[in-house]
This record gives sequence, C-alpha cells and structure tokens, in this order.
Amino acid sequence: MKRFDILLVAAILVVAGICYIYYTHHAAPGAYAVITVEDTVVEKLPLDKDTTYTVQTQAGYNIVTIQDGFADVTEADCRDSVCVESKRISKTGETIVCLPHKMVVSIEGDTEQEIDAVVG
Amino acid sequence: MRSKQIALYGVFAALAVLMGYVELLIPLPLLVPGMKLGLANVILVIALYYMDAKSAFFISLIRVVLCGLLFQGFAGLLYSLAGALCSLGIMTLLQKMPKFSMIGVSIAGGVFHNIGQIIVAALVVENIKIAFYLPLLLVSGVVTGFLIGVVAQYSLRYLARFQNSK
Repeated sequence: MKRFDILLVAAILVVAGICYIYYTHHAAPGAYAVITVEDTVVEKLPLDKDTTYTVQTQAGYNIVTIQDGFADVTEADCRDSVCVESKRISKTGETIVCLPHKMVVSIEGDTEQEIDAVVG
Repeated sequence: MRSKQIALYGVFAALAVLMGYVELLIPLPLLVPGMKLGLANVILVIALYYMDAKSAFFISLIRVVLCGLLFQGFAGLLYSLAGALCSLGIMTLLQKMPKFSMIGVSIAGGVFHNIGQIIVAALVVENIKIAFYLPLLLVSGVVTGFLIGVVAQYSLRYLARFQNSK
C-alpha cells in the first residue's frame, strides 16, 4: 500500500459516507409503495393497509406484499430473485428492484417529492 | 514470441471465465443487488501488469461475452460489459501513475466496476433511485478490491519467478 492508495480509499469512503448520510437524512417514514414497470407507475399501495398485489410484467410476475407498514417482494419468477431476497422497505426513497422485469417498488411520502419531478 | 502471446491470452481468458463460474458457486449474503466478489478481476489485474492494457482489455472483453452468454443472458451481459469497461478504464489510468500500487489500482477497479453497473441499471430501469445502493456498493468495492489486489500481488511474484527461470 502506498500513500496514494490510502488517499484513494479515504476519498471513496468519504463519498460513500456523504451519500449514506444524505440518504438516511432524507429518509422519512413513507406513506405509499409505488410500483413502477419501465418507468410507468402501475400501482400505488398505501402502507397502512395490509395487502398483496401481483405485478404482471411482460417478462414475468412479482408479488408485492404490504404488511405492518412495510413493503416486500415475497415471490417472483425472475432469474436471479434479487428482489425477493431484498429486505422489506418502509422509508421514503427506499427501493426494491427487479432488473429482469424492469420493476421497481419505491416508497413515497404523503406529498409528491420534488425529486420525482426531476426524474420524470 | 507471438505464439507464446496467443497461448497467454488463451490461458488468461480461460482463467477469467473460470473465475466467473467459481463466483457463481460461492453463495454470498446478498445485501445489495449487484454486489459481487469480482474474482475475475484478479485475472485482469494480473494481465494488466504482466502484459499490457490492450491485452487486458481484450481478455476482459472475451470474459464478458463468454460469461454473459454462459451464465447470465443478454441483460446480464450488458451490466457486466459496463462494469468491466469502467473498471478497466480506471485501472489502466491509475496503473500509469507510479504513485499508486497494485492494491490501489485494484480497489479503484472494484469500485468503478460497481459504479458502471449501477449506471447501466439506472438507465435500464429508468429510475435514478437505484443509486440508493451506491454507498454500500462503494464500500464493498473497496473491500473486495483490496483483497483482489493482495491476491494479484502475490500471484505476480510467482509469475515473475517463472519468467526469470526460463
């Protein structure tokens, strides 16, 4: 390890830390689980009502379960099952992503967030 | 000389593909989508130092195409390609700077591999929120990059000995 290596690692960790603090600072308990397939919103589920919703995409299905204020993907027929293994989410900005199906479950707050306007 | 080079390309490419397979066999607690050991990077770091940037680039390309077709399918191939190109680009750049050691080069490679993948993922899903995973991927890139740098450094010592003995 040379000195520049350590500087590099420090720089990366600082960036990671800033990102992390930024995300957690902006994370508030969410109100809705928004399900998006290829950038179109297909369903908006309130987190305070336990329910199960099956997302049918061209590539396959994902089952999204809302329970105890958390949203979770409990079942899917995608190749890697990354979405099923992802932890359940409840705070604004948190996401569960299924890349093979191009499906995203994200948590949003009560009011529309500015960042959504930017992305859209 | 030329035939020796061809043989070397073959060996390195085969090793890189093999590493991709070995990686599939190792179950990893999946905290974040896209988190990987990046074992193939061991081979690429070695290739970068033992041969040159051009060779490493082609070996990386062969690895991505073969691994992609064998294990991942087309979408996976796209992520791998983005990750591999980002990673190799930064490694080539840092390797030219004598102030970075092999471990630093490898760490940068690991981190940029993750950055490349997350950019493609954000483009495919058309959702910037996927960058939520960036901090964790950065840290995991540093850890795996460091380990891979150490392994590559030890391996190269043996390779150098092998070359001198001829």
